[in-house]
Amino acid sequence: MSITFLNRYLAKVTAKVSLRTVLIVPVVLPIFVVVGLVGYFSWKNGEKAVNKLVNQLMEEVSDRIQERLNSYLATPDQINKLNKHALDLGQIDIKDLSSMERHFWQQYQVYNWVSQIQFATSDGEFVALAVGEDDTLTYQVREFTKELRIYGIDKEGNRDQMLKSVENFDPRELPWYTHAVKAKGQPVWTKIYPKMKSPTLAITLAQAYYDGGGNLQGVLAVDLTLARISEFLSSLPIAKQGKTFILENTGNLVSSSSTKALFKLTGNQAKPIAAVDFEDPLIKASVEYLQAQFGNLKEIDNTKDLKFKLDGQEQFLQVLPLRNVRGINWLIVVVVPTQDFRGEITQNTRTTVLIYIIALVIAVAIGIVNASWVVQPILRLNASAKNLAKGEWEQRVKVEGAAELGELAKSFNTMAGELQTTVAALEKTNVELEDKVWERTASLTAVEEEMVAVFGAMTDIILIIEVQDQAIENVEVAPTNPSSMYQDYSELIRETIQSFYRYETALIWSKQVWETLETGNRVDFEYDLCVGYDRFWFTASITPISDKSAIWVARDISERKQTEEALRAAEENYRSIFVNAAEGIFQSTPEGVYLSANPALARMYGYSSPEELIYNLKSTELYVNPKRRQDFVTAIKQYGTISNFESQVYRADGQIIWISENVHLVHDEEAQLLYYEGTVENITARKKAESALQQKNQDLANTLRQLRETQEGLIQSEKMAALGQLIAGVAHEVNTPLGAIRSSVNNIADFLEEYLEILPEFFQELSPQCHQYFFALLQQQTKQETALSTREKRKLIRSLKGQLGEVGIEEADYIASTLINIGVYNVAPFLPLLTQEEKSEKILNMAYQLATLRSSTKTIATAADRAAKVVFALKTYGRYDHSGEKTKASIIEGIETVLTIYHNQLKQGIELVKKYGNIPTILCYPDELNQVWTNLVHNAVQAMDNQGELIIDVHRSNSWIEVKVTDSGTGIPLDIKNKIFQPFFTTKPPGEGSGLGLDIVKKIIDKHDGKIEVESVPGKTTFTVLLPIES
Amino acid sequence: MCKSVILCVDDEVLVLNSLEIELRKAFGNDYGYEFAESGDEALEIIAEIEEDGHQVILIVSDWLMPRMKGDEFLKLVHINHPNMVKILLTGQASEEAIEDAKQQVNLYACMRKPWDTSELIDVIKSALNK
Repeated sequence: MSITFLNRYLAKVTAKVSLRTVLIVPVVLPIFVVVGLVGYFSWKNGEKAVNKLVNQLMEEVSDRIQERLNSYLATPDQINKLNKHALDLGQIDIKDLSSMERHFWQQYQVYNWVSQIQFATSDGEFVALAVGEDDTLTYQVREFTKELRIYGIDKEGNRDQMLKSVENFDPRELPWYTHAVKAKGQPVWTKIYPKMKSPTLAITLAQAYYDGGGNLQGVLAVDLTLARISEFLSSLPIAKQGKTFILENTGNLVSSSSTKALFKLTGNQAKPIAAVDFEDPLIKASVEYLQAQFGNLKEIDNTKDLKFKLDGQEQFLQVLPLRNVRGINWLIVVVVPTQDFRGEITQNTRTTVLIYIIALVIAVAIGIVNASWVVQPILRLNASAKNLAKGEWEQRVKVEGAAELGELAKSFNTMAGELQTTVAALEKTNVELEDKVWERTASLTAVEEEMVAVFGAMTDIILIIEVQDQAIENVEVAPTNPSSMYQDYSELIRETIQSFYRYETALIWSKQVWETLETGNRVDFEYDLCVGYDRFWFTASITPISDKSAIWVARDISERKQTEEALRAAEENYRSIFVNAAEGIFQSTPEGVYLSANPALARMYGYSSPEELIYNLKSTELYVNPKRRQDFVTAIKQYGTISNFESQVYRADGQIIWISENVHLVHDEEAQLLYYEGTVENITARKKAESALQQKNQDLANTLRQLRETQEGLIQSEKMAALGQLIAGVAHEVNTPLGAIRSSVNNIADFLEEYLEILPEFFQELSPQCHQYFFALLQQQTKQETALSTREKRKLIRSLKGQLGEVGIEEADYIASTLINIGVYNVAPFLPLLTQEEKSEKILNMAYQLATLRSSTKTIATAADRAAKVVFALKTYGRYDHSGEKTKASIIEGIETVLTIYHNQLKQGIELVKKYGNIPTILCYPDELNQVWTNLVHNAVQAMDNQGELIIDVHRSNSWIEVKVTDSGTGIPLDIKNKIFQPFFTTKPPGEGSGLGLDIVKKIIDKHDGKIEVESVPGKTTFTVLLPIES
Repeated sequence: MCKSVILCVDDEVLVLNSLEIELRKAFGNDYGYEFAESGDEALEIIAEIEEDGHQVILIVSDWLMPRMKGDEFLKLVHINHPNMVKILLTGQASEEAIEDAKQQVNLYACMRKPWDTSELIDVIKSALNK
């Protein structure tokens, strides 16, 4: 069951897949799988081998380190023990430190990796052999004094010159000393500490030395520098990027194979560095990993092999604790990136993949070649079979390929040959049959065509009627071509008589048939017939063929009948038009005799009938103006026709009417004039309407002119109204200086009258001293140039009055104001005059009079200027250029003129700000623009209710001059903003403004091809006028 | 000693100067003379003069002045000084305002600019003598 199913499934799949694929896939697939598996296993094995290798290597390395460290760390202990023995044996003497020097020197020759060998007595004496940074050896000694002396060493190990000394050195304060004393004779390691005066870390093993009585004699100590351990670590052969390092279980680095510094430098002091702060990323990451893994490094108590990832790379890590009873708790760490060992594996893997691909390609290629060798002949066979099916009988297949396929091809070819023969025989028989049928059909068609041609040439309907037993038995219709009547005559052929003759008409026709048959004579008649919705006319003749049959030939005469009908109708129509037309229609001879006239013409001319008209009227007598007839005849002779010939004519009752004639000449065939023919229209009503219309037009034109005049007048009156509003202010502006002038003139005249004559006498009376005072007084006035305000003047008078009061002068305030008027502000020089001179009053008065004389003349000059300015402004404002042409003018001058006229109104509480840019003069109508500025300034002043700020800004903006008039008034409400430029729009009470102001402004600006815009918010309304510079 | 003062108010110093010359010529030291360029200043002066123990007996005021017009000023003065003589001296004033002032502040006279000196002095004299 399942096999059947599998087969079916395979058949289903292979039906869709090409033969080529079926042949190739089974070959390639196993190769693909086998090579893949081999590659995978070889890679896996490589991996395993590497892991093993790495572990071995690391173990070896860490063992070596451990071994080396143990021996390294053992050295100080050995040296200390040797020295202890030497002390015990008296080879070296505590009392003779210099003996120790050479002893230490000799020891260093053996253990040259230690950095210091030293001994400190319990009295604080000290001797040491120290190895410097550059391996120079020194003795460091403290004896007798508290200073540490440092000596060079010669080749024999003898003390050389003193190099240096350090004050206040006490070895007993050093950590290794105190540690050792605490340990009571046990050797003890210090913590790792920075070495004095050199940037390296060191560690010291110290051991207290007791004499036989158990008394502390001193401490022996040996220093090791960690730099030496690092040198050793970096000398170890380990993979390219691998690192080894040693750290304390506190986390501080002891040593590493990295070249990075192991300590932090603070000034000259080195401090151990925590491994997690170390610069080398691998070491840092390793320690972080360990801390993460174990929490506390102290937890690590045996060798551990670990793996972790750094930047995606796998790292092998081995950690090994180093313990020493003397207080050393270190961890040896070896870390190696697996990448270092994987190199070769990766290479191997690549090679495997390459081989894999090559094998695959070869396998596929072989598969394709193989498949095509099998498939090609089958494909060819398939193509041939397809062609054969299409009828290409010549198809043969080339016999080649495998034996089975060759057989198949041969069978195919044989089959194709047989098929070809059979088909050829069938085709031949078929052709013969077709030929016979063709001949037969041709002969039949010839006969039929003749008949059809005969009948087809006829347009008549031909019926053959047979009668039997007093009844029309059969009607046969010949296939003629009565095109107009039936769409498809064939439907009538072989109709029975009952269906052909319908209704009662059938009775009439059958009578005709009977008559023909009875008389044996031909009968002709006409009849009409409805077919569908159309009506047809026929003329028919029935001719007997035998005593029982007749032939009926009918011809369609509908067209002729219709034409006749149409003609009759048309004639009727024309008649009706002639009789019923609203226009008069006539025919008349050139002599004026009417040949015909229609009722309308008779009515028009006032006759009861056309006949009456024809009888009574000659067209020569018709016209009110006889010359019109003459014109008529001349025109019609010249042009042959005349239209819209309008004249006044008399009616029969003598009434005059207007007519319009359209007339043409009618000639006979020989071009002989027969008569005039034409139509007449009564246009009296139209004429009346026309003249009324003309009158209306005239009236309208007059009204328009009046309106224009009114508008001109309104514009002028608006101008005058604005002027009128100004007159009030202007009157004040002019009258004020005039008043001052008049008063001053009066004053001067008075002076001349009163004082001129007495002046010489006055001078004669004066003492020389008084002369001096007098002229000094006069000179005071000339000094005072600026006019004082009343406040200033009052202040001066007050102060002067005080001064005068102090010296006891009576009427101090009067004299003070006199003095101020003279121009004396400092009274001191004149106090003697005022207090001592009898004539002081007279002198003062004369000086005052002269001073008023001077101030009067000044007043006159100033006032006259003022008045002249106002008058000039008025003159400029009122100027009217009648030429109607633009003139070059300065916009700013125009604005200034208006501002001068408004000066009086503006000075009452309006702060005027002028911002004038540099602008060119432009072609304009200056007086009209003045009206614009007047309106804008006037509106602004009113909008502000005479209080606020008025800004006039004039500047150039590209090819425009921009004038902005801004006021700080209440602003224009939004709902009327669009109306302000409309004529007669005003917000002012009746009588104060016509409402034409801004309309006129707009018109004037338009006339200049300019623009005006308004922006308004409460507190700031700006009218902007733009005028083109080039117009 | 209480002194009578004549006060002139006009926004034009030119006019005030001319008036001073005329008044001094006509009345010499008989009266004190004060001059103000605005209604506000005039009110201050009146207050000062009264503080000093003097009194203003006559005011000659312009009508068309910035901020406070002559009639408004005189109305303010009239509230506390109904008996003070008030004369308008103006180049232009609306008839309404003058009529109004005549009734409300008991205006003694209204003179027109340009004024005739003797006429003005006569008016003042007649006012002071009554």
